[in-house]
Amino acid sequence: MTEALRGERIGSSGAATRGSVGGLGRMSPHAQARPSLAPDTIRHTFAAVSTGGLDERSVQLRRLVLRMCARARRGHIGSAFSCLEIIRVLYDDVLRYDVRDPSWAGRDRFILSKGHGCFALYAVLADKGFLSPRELDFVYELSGRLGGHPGGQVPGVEISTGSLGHGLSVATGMAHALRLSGSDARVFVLLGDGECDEGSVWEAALYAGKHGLANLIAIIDSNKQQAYGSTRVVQDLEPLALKWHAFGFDPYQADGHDVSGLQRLFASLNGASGRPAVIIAHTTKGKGVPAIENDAGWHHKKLGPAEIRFLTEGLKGSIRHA
Amino acid sequence: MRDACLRAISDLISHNPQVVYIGSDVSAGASARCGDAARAGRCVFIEGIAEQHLVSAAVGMALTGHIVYLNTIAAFLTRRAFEQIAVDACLHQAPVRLIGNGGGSVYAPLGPTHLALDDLALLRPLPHLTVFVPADADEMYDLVCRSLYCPGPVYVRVGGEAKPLAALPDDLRRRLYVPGHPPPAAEVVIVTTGTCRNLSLEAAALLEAGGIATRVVHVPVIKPFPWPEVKPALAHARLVVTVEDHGVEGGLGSILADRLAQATDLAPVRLHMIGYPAEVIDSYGDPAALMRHYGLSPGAIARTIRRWLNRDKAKEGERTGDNRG
Repeated sequence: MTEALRGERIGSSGAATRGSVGGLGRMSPHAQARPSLAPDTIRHTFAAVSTGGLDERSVQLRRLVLRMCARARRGHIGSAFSCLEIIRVLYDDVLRYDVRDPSWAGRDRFILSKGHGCFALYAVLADKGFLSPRELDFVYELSGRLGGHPGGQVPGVEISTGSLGHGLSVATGMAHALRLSGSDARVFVLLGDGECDEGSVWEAALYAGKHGLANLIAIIDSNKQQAYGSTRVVQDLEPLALKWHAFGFDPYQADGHDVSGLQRLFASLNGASGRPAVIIAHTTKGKGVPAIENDAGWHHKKLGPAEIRFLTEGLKGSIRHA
Repeated sequence: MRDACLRAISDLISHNPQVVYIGSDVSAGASARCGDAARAGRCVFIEGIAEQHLVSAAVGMALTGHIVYLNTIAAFLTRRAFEQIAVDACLHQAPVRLIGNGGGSVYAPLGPTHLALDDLALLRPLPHLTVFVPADADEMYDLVCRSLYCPGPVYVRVGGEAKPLAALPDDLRRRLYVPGHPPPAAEVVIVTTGTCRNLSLEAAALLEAGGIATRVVHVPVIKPFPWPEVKPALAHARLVVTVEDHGVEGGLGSILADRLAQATDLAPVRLHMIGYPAEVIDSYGDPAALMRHYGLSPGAIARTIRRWLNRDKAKEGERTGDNRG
């Protein structure tokens, strides 16, 4: 059982094992004796988070983010860069969707509860064809659809978010409804670590645990920063995995910028335990531009031409050469 | 009224597989009234005390093919979960029906934390929201059934008990204005909502016994406010009085004040409001005692209206006397 709790579990491919989630998850997590968590699930063992560079795709997606920032002249740049690999892997390898029919009933749902990271989502949605890339040049325009937080009217976006603390609750409602209808669609929701300060997140966790929502996967973009400084100083969350475990989730630790690691982890999640999952993805705020990494001052910034040039140059230096 | 509400929801569940009921901090009997054990966990959910989460979760279900009836205590639903109502339910026009138990003075014995005297004021500006304030169990049943088809979110205020219209004597009922009828030739028109309808009808009877023609307009759907139906009733009134089991700041009285102040095609009319002042009400009496204390009883309403009429007439007399032309 210990192996099942390690962050690097390699299981069968996701599609083959997802099976009929409708029949699962009815067992109360409290009804079964659960093994305690392995030490490297309680605290992550990554000595350093992705000191390696980013591949060309990740850099290209960041260029799309900068394109929006340039037009908007501002942005939550640090927050968008820390969650980009997570969103990329979800849309490249995990989520089931139809670009031609974004509201297809059988789709997997993705909610960006950490709404201020939306430039990352828009970059991926444009890349996938939900949006025309040209639309990225119309951020913060009264006549446009794209702004500083995701709008529910944008194709591919499930709900408007931004207030923090709402997305997990909405996700549990969606996951619950999908299971009631016998659908095998899943719900993925990305939260910030600062967002986990909000009480409603834990109300949602209680509900997901109670109902054994095994078709729900939460991901925490754990970049250890909030707007005002490090989470350790502002509001320490450790031991975060233990907290989620106590609320009835199966927690996993992951390197949030390791694309192949994320792919393997997502592929291994099949809901067989009957419990919702949470991936604590360790990330770097501002990942991709070393000069701004881990700097809370880049949480949200006015970005004039000089800043955009500075960020673009910084991005060039981070390409990993195979 | 609460029973009628649950009975309606139960009937809706029987006829429509999309309908689900979520009860939070509701009584042990609530789930039983909504249906049998077979429904538990399929379309009837009894959850804990987590208003913010449950409003958002209800929205999640509603965006995934359901019509969700979420039932909890009015004060906590509207205050604690206000943001969720605004940015999850209303922003997305999600088909959730928020059923608030104890609108108005119902929880008077439990004190100020439980009184919902500002719920209508809080919800007033929210886009896409429909607000139902039924006067009795019959109206409650009818409105809850109608709520099935409302696009977007609905708030249903479950107030205190009041006799159904059919059970009132003719002599009281005949003073109720029927929308679409000619404007009443009454000097005083009382505009009311919810459980104050019967009190207002009794007050009207007392006033008429003293020679003051009075009619009552009952508005069970206050948002969107049916101004085109209410306005004609005020055409000949000298005094409009609002009566509500709610605060005077931001409730029915404020709605009328807004409309009257901006109406360009009505003769000028005085407006007075009867309801709770914007103060902390930290006493613990029973609802009827609380309402009487704040002037919400037939006798008090009638006395207050007579006093205003006399004062307004006196002021008018002064003005006329001063007008030396």
